[in-house]
Amino acid sequence: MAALGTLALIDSGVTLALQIGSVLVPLIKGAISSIKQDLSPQGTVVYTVVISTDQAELVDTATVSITDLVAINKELQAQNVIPLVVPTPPAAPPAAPTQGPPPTP
Amino acid sequence: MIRKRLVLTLALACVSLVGCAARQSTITNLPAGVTQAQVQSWDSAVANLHAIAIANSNLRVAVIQLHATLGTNGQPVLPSGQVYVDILTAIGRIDQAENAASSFLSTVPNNWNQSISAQIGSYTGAISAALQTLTNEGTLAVKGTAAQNQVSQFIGNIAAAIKIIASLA
Repeated sequence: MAALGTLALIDSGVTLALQIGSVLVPLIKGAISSIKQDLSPQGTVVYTVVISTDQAELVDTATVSITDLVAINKELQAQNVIPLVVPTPPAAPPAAPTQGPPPTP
Repeated sequence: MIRKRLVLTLALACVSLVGCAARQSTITNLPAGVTQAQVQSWDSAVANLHAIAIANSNLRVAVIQLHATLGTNGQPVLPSGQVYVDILTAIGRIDQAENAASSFLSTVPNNWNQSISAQIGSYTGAISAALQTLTNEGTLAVKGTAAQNQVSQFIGNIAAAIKIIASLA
C-alpha cells in the first residue's frame, strides 16, 4: 500500500494481471488513485452489506453476553448467591439475499 | 504465571479496541427515506456495543482468574466474599443491558432518531451504573497494582465506548 501511495502522488497508471502459463490476463487496469480508493477499508459500502454485517455483530454481542452470564452464574452459585437471569439466545441473522435461478423461458 | 495472564488479557483488551471508530464513510443504495447519517449512527452504536461486550467479557475472565489466583501471601488476588459477589453481579448487569440493547438495535436496522437514542441511553445508563460499582469496589478489592491496572483498563474501555454511543446525535 505504501508503494501505491507513492505512485499515486505522481498520478501513475498500473495494471494488475494474473499469469496463466505464458498468457497475462489483466485483472485491474487504471489510475493508481482509483485502485487505491477501491482497496481502502474506509471506502464505499452498500447499505445491505452494512445491515447484514451489523446484524451478525449484534448476534455475536448477545451470544457473548449469554456466555458471560452462564459463567458468572456458576461463580455466584459457588458463593451461594441466587443466579442472574439469562436471556434467551438470539436467532441467527437472516441470510444475505442471493440471486435465484435464471427464469425459465 | 500471574504476569503471563495479565499480559494475555491486556493483549485481548487492545484487540477489543479495534472497531470503535466510525467504520463506513459512504453508504450507497440507501432505501427511500433512510439517510446516510441514520445508518452511520446505527452502525457506530452497533460497533461500540460490541466493543463493550468484548471488554466486559475480558473483564469477566480476568476477575474469575484473579479469584482463582493465589498471591505471594497465599491468599486469592481477589478473595471470596460480598465484594467478589458485587463485582460479578455488576459485570452480569452489564451483560444483561448489552443483551437487551443488541436485541433492540436489531429491530431498528435503518433508523436513528431521538427516541432510539433515548432507548439506547437507558441501556448505557444501566451499564454506567454497574461500572460505578466496579470502579468503587473492583479496583479496591483486587490486590496488587498490576491487577488493579488491568481491571481499570477494561473499565476504561467500556466507559470510552459508552461515551461514543452517548455522543451519537
